[in-house]
Amino acid sequence: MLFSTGTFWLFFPLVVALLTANRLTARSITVQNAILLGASYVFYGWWDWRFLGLIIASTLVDYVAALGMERSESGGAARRRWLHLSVAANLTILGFFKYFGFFARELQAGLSAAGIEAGWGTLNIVLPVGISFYTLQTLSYSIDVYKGRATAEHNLLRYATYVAFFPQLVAGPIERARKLIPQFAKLAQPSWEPAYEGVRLIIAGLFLKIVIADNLAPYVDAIFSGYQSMGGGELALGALYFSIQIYADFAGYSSIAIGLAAIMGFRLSTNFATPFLASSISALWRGWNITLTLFFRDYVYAELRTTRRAGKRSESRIALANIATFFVSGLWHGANWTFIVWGTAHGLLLVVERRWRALVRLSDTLWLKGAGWLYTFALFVALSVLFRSPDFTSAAQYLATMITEPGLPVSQRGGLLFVALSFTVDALWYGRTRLDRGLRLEWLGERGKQLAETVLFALALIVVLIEATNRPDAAAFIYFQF
Amino acid sequence: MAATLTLDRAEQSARQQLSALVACIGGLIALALGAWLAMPLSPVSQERYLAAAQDHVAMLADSKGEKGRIVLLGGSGTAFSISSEDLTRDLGRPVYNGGIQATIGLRNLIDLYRPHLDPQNDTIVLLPEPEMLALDARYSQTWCDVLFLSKDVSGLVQRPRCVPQVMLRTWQDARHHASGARDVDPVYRRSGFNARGDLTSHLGYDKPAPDFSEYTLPNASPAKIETVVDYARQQLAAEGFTMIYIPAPMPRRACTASREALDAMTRRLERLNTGERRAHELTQSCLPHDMFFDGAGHLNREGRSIWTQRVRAALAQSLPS
Repeated sequence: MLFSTGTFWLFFPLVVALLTANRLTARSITVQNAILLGASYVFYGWWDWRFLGLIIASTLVDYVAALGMERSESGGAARRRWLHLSVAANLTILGFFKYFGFFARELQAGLSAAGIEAGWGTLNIVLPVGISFYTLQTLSYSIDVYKGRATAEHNLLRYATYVAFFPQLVAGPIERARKLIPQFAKLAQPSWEPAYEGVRLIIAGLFLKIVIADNLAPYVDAIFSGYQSMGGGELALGALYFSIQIYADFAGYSSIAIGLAAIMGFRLSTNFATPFLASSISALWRGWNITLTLFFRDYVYAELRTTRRAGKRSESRIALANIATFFVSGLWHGANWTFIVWGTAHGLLLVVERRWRALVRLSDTLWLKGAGWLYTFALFVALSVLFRSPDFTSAAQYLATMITEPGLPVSQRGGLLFVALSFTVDALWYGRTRLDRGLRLEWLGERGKQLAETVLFALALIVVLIEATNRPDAAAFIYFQF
Repeated sequence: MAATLTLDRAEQSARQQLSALVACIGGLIALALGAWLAMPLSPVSQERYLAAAQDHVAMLADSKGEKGRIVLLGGSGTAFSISSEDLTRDLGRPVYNGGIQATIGLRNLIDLYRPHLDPQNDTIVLLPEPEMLALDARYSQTWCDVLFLSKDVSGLVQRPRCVPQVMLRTWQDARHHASGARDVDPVYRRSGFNARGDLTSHLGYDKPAPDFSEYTLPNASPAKIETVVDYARQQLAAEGFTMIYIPAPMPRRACTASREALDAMTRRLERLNTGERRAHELTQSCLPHDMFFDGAGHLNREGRSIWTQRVRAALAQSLPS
């Protein structure tokens, strides 16, 4: 079920109505969580009910493993074994569905290069929606319990609700157990303030997705599929459009997810913070898919940057940790070398930036910020070609034409309107898709700001409705494929 | 205490703002719908091809009760490709062409014409193109445009999903008014239809036939076809209408390429016949590609003449004497 379909907007009020009925009558936390879990399984099963088994298996394994860790001695072998069980189970599920085909093909190609013809056929494995997100979430839970940063959850219903909570099940934000599970341990008390903010976040998210991302999609598809017959100007536009498309698509999803949870009385983490206004690659990553970046920071980078023996953090160690972390991040995005190189390149850029900052101390002037923004945005856009291209050859040809045949685009310029809209939305937001901020309109005064916000959100919703009803089918969110 | 008061104030403010947002959305929708009803249609909208749907309705209303009336139902293929004038002359019965646009969907088209059809007098000839079945939906942009052009408030109340589309069209129409635009397509225009509902504006154009080598049959699922057929039977056959089904004209290349699918579709659609006999063989609907004007169902002057004769022959065979 997609957030941008009519079916979802019949489903969601029903869930809210059931939760409200429980709050007004039974006031039972168990009933609340049962409603949420049932709704989450319906939400997921709408896509393909068979893969519900994976979520349930992942839930049960980590639930049992965490209880096992809790019962075992801190730092003991038994505790470590429970962790290994959880990590192995999660990575096996993820590895099989996401990477089996990739590694089988690569092995076949490697053997073939060595003169050995491997005769096995390749399996066409369907990637279950959201597997990359909920697997990381359950992994973070197990690791946190192992390290004592979170307590094991004894209530299975509560834990299953944490794993499957539908607003963030298929594309995040990836929530830590210590933040989300306690919210299921009490009766949610929605109130007007978060509900109002939730409504605005949903409108903003739908606007980003339906008006900006979905309108850029045909331009991106046309340019990337016909890049061989286009000039450098059009190809540069294609890379720019794709960067904005993927941002609007994913930030839109996150915004809707946070808004939905807020209406039901739950709080999810901020996942995007105007990354395209950043003036350095590191700042960009602090605002892009924040919960995923934090996952990799806490569970990959933090482990790699410090030597086990001496606990030292040498510069070379940090550089290696950065590159390795982004290598993993690239691999997480997809089983393709283009993603791996895309991620590794970002890791390298972070290392270069860190060295540069250590060597040169620059003042905080406006023009330097502008130059930083230009360099950051241009590099992100250029690297996005790797992200969108099906293989290296296509990406290399695309980039080569883009660089060697520069010029003003003569076609495909219509998408610039949506690029401008995207930056306008970013400029208006307070820099974060979070609940406690409005739009940057203080200069209008208190009443004027409220009025302008009301009119802007009302207009945005009307544009969303017009756009949504003008399409035969709702487009899936891009990050579902990861 | 102070914290509670602040919280209450924040809650109250949020509640007010949420109410204001809902009111603003409602106000903007009311404003747009008010403008839709108050503002006359621009020359561009008045002359739109789809505006002819209103003329078809008026034509059927005016001729209701004519003895032995035959009404053709279909999409643009029917409008482009049949001469009701010739059929009227050849069959000696009044024939009216209700063909307009396939994307309306057959069920919506039946709803549109049903009040002006008479089971005592009328024979309904159904010629739905594959697109008309594949795209049949209770909500469609085309159907919303029909509501917009006819300013049909009750229709809009029944199909609230059309409200955004009506708002969009109102906005576009206001821009047409402001810019003074008048241009419409020389073929796809309301004034291209004659008094019997045939589109004739394309007959003056000598246009090379399209290449149908890439044509793929629109995917109308068996379930969808069943739904549409059941609806037609319920609304028309069950009310006493005589119904005759004739497969819509198709380029021969498309017929050959999609033979099995077309056969299966035709077999399912034969339930639209109320009589015993099959009115028409599918092969009779497959015509050389150079007889087409600009699309799979749109015949040019020569094709229209041949197809009209074949429809005449099929009707002569099937019509109750």
